[in-house]
Amino acid sequence: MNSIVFDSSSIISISEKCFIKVLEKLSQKAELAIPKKVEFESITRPSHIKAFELNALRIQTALSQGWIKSIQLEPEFLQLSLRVKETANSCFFINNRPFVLIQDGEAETLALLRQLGASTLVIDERNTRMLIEDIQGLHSYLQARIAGIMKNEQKIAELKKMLSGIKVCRSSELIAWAFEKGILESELQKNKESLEAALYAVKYSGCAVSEREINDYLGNF
Amino acid sequence: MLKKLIQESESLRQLFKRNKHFKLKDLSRQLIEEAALSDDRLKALMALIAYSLYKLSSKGHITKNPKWDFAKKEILQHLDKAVQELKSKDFREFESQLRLAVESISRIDSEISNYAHSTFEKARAKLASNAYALGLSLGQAAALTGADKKDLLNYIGFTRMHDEAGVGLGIKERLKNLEEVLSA
Repeated sequence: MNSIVFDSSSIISISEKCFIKVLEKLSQKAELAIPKKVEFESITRPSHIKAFELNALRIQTALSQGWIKSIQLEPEFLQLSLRVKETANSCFFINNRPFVLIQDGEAETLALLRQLGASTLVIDERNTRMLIEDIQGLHSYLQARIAGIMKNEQKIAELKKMLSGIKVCRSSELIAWAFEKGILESELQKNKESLEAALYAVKYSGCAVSEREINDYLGNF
Repeated sequence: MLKKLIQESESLRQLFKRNKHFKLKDLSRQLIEEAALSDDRLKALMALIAYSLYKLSSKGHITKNPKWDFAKKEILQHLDKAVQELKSKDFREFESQLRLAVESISRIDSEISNYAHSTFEKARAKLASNAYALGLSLGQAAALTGADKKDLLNYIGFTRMHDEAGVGLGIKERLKNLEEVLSA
C-alpha cells in the first residue's frame, strides 16, 4: 500500500467541511500520514481555541482511530527538513535579504514524503505547490507583486532536485475522487450540482483551486 | 531603518488620535507589506494595531460608548510611550508598550463589541491574507501575524486570490495521478 502525506492546509479544509469521512475511505487504499508539526498545527494549537476546537477534535478522532498516522521524522529526515527549509528560503531575495517562503510544517511534510518513500502530497496551500511544480512560475508571481525580488538559480536547482518526483493533489481532487467512487452518496445525490457544491465548499475553505479549474472539471459531466 | 520605524510609530499614534480611520487602514497595509518582505514580527504587530484601531474607531456604536474615551486615552498613552522608547532605542520596551496597547484594545473590544471573535483576531487573519497575497506561504503568513491557519484559510477562501494564479495541472490530471497511486 502506498503512502500519501498531508499538509495541515488540506486536512483542515477537508475536515472543516465535514468531508473527513472521505479520508477514512481513502485510508483503505493508501496509508495517510502527517508529520508531528502538522499534528501540532491542526490539532494541538486549535484545540485550545473554542472556535476551532470541533475541527481539531475531528482530526484527533481520525488519529485515534488510526486511519491517519502522525509520524515522527527520523533524525536523518529531520535534517532533510531543515535543508529543504533553508534552501527554499534562499531561492529568492530582496534587498540582499532572503525572502522567507516556507516554515517548519511545510518543510517537515516534504521530508516525511522522502522518509516514507511516498510521492503524493496533499496540500491546499499555493506556495509549496508552486515550489514543487513551477518554481519559475512562483518567481513570476512574486515579481508581479514585489519590486526588486531576485532569484538564486543555484538554490532553485538544488531545491528542484530535492523535490523531484513529488506529485501534488488538493482537497478538490479528493472530493472529485470521492464523488466518482460514490463515497459522498450517503449525504449528497450523485449529480453535477452536488459535485459543484462540494468543490466550492473546499475552495471557500481555502483550497488553492480556481473557479476556472472547477468549471473545466464540471464540463466533463 | 530606525528613523523610518519612528516615523511609522508616530503616524500610528497621530492617525488614531485624529480619528483618521482610512489612513490607519492604509498604514496597516503598508506596514504588513514591509513586515512580510523582511519577516519583521514587530512591524507586523504595529500593522495589527493600526488595523484594529481602524476597525474600532470607524464603528459608531463603539466610539459613542462612554467607555471608549477612557480606552482611547489609555491606548494613546501606550502608543506615545512606545514612540519614546523607540527614540531611546529600547526595542524591548517599545514592544512591551505595543503589547500593552493590544491589551487595551482587546479589553475595550470585549467590553463593547457585538462580536465574540475579537477585532484583533480578525485583524490577524485579514493581514495574514495580505501577506499570503503578496507571496508568502500560508504558514509564513500565519506566523507573521499569529493567525490560526484555519482562520486564515477561511479568509483566503472567500477572496479571489486563488483565481488570479495561473492554472497548472487541472483537477482531472491530478485525479488521474491520485488514481495511479491508489491502484498500485
